[in-house]
Amino acid sequence: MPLALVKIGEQCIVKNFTCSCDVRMRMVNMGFIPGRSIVVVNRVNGTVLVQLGQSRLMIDGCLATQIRVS
Amino acid sequence: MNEKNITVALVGNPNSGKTTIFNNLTGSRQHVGNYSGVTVEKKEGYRHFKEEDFLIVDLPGTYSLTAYSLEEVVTRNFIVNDKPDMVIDIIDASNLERNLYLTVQLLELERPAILALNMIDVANASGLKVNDAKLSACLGGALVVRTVGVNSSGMEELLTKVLQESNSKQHSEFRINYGLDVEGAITKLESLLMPLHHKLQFPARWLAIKILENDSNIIDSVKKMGNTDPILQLSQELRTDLAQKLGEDVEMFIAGQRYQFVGKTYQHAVDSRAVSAVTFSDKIDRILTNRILGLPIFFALMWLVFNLVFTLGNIPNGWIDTGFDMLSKYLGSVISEGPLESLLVDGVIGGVGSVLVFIPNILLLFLAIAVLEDTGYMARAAFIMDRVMSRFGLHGKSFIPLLLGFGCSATAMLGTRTLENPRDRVITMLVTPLMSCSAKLPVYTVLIAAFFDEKVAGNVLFSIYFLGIALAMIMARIFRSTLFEGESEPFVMELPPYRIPTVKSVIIHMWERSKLYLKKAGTIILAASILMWFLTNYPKDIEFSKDYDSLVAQAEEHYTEQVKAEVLEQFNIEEIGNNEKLASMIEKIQTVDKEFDENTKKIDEDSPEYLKFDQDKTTKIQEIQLQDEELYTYAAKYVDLTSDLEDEKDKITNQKAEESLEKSYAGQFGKMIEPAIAPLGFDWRVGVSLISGVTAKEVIVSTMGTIYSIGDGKENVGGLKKALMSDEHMNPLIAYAMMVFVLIYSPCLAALAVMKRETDSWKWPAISMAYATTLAWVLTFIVYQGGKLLGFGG
Repeated sequence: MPLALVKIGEQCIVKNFTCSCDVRMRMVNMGFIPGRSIVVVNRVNGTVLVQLGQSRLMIDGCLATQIRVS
Repeated sequence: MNEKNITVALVGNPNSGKTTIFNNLTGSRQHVGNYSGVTVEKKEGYRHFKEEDFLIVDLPGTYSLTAYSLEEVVTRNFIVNDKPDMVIDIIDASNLERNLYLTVQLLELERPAILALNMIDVANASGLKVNDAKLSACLGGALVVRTVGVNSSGMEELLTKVLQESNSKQHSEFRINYGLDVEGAITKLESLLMPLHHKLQFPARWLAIKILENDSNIIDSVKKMGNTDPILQLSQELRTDLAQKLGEDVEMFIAGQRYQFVGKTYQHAVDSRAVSAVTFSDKIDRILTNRILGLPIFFALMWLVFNLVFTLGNIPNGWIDTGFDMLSKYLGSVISEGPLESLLVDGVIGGVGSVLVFIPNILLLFLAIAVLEDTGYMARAAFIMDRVMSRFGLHGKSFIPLLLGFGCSATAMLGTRTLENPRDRVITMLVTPLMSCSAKLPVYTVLIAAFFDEKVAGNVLFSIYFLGIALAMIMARIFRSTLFEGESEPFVMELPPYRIPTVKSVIIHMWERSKLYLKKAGTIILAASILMWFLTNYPKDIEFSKDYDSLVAQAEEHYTEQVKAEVLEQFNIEEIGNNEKLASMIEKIQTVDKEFDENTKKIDEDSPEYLKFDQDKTTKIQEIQLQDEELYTYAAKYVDLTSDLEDEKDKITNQKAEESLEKSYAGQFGKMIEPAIAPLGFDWRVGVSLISGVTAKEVIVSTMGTIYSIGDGKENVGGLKKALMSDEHMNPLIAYAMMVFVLIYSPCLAALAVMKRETDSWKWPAISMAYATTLAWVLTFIVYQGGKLLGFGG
């Protein structure tokens, strides 16, 4: 399912991206690689706050629908 | 660059404490420029240590060395082309795993490198135990130094290690095994590249990997070599082949392999068993980014910043203002009256002074921004505001410059630097001037006081501010869907952990930006002030319609005659001084008058305070009158005659000033553009004021002051108000139209100069000026003509 639908506080695993190649690689450079486990920390009006290892990333609502997790 | 310098490049993730270390190493000996052709900031600094000179370069913060952002390309090109003697990789030890991803890519470049485990104290406190020897061993023997940027620990060791290593000239052999399939492809490409790689400067293995990764930047430079088609063709074949075998894109696979390597290294060298799940930052974030509390806290903080900047800052403002007043008076007394005195006092001090007065505000503004950024709150603010702003095509972070726009557009535009995306920056800069800056407020105040009832004054002012905000949002939306159509991109941003900023880095941060404002905007304001002074003061050889000098002489003659006939002859004296009683009474009356004028200078005539002062004055005068009724009649007569003469002389001087302004270059120009602004209800006087306002908005009031013959408008707002009310050309509708125009039209020169600097082209300031003025014209036209149709404005 898309990251945008994950409940606050839930852990999930990154599966793949449906966004453009450039954005995908930028996500990868920040540590967002398939297989990584992430936690949705917060969501305000669609913008998602994700904990990934020791970094905390903010992902806008549009991008959150393009990231598939399980 | 001095040959003896040891060049050291600092590389690291954003928020890894790189800038703090740079500041520690170089102190204030810094130089900020731009990399040629791009707007990425280039920071260099110098350090003398153990008889050696170091040139230290702070490269932009990056997560990786791919070609997906400008910062990445700048960083890797500098390392490869400029060949620094040493690269220091600043690693946030408390976020080691993610930081190592950049480290391994850096080591693949095969340049001498030292790893600085920064914020090791934070890492230790959170329960991480790093084994430096094991880490070094995993990374091909690269040297590891522990540092704590915030208290400068480890800096000397870092420089000592740089000295040792750059002398030994040995650098470690480091490679990641990408697995059989990819390694095979790398070897094939490498053998083809070997004959070429000397020309390209990059290591052959690295080049091969980049070509396989389809790195656009590298492929372009390979293409330029000529005769490289076979290589690129082979790489395309290998990529398709590999994608099939691996089941995913080669670049994804390679990135995955790097992360695997990093993960293994991390597990091997770091003991993270004691790390607690909930950090300090988590706890703060639960409150500050809370869906209910987040917004109120944000607004409260912004209110605090706004007040700090524009209330606290106004206190030293007054001192600077007084200082300039004293300087003008001093210059006026030292230099004899003439063009030089006028140029220095009216032109230079008047113009540049009006900008320098803002220094305290600017310092405080940048202090507040530096603190918000260095603590990590800025990123949270962006998160909280993102959804609201994105509806209008803006970024969450755009909110901060827009808010600062109520203070000063020029500084607000400097604040757009916190936006990563250049398109967001440009859109924000284009709409920021629509927020009514503090310099526009005096214009509104004068016009509202003159033409609107006190009861509606607040609403009128609010309507102008609101119109500005609404227009900013609408224009942002329009710019996003026209000029920047389709370029809106999804974004991801890191929220750095909360930190207590160091005083040193906050001050350096603040000073860096303030210096830019003073240097760039200051020079432009100086030039503009001199130009405006010239345009309003020349040509000097005007043929006046009246002989003002002889009018003054006539008035004086008339005065002498009257005094003689009505006062002096009654006492049979030659001059007032001959009758001591009369002279002392005159002096008493004049003192009372003077006191009254002083006290009521800034008070409205209808106000209760004014009435109180008026009563006081009457009582005092009556006291004097009771002393000697007859003598008082003559004394009062003399005082009246004298003040009448002063008024008459002022009137003549002002008429002369008005005529010379009307016939000056600026006045001629105003008359020329009058047809263009006539449909808005404006005459040439408003035209000249508006044009002078392009240099700085606060100039509008002072120009109007000059034009409406009441001297310096700043000191005498009440006078300008009366003059405006008695001008038959003006009415409330025109006043409102003028406010609308002032709100929207071209940003001031300082703002345009900052925009030129920040976008590195004249295109955006030109667009900004053109669109704002056009929009102002159209809207003012609608307001004025619409208002006339509805029967407003008489």
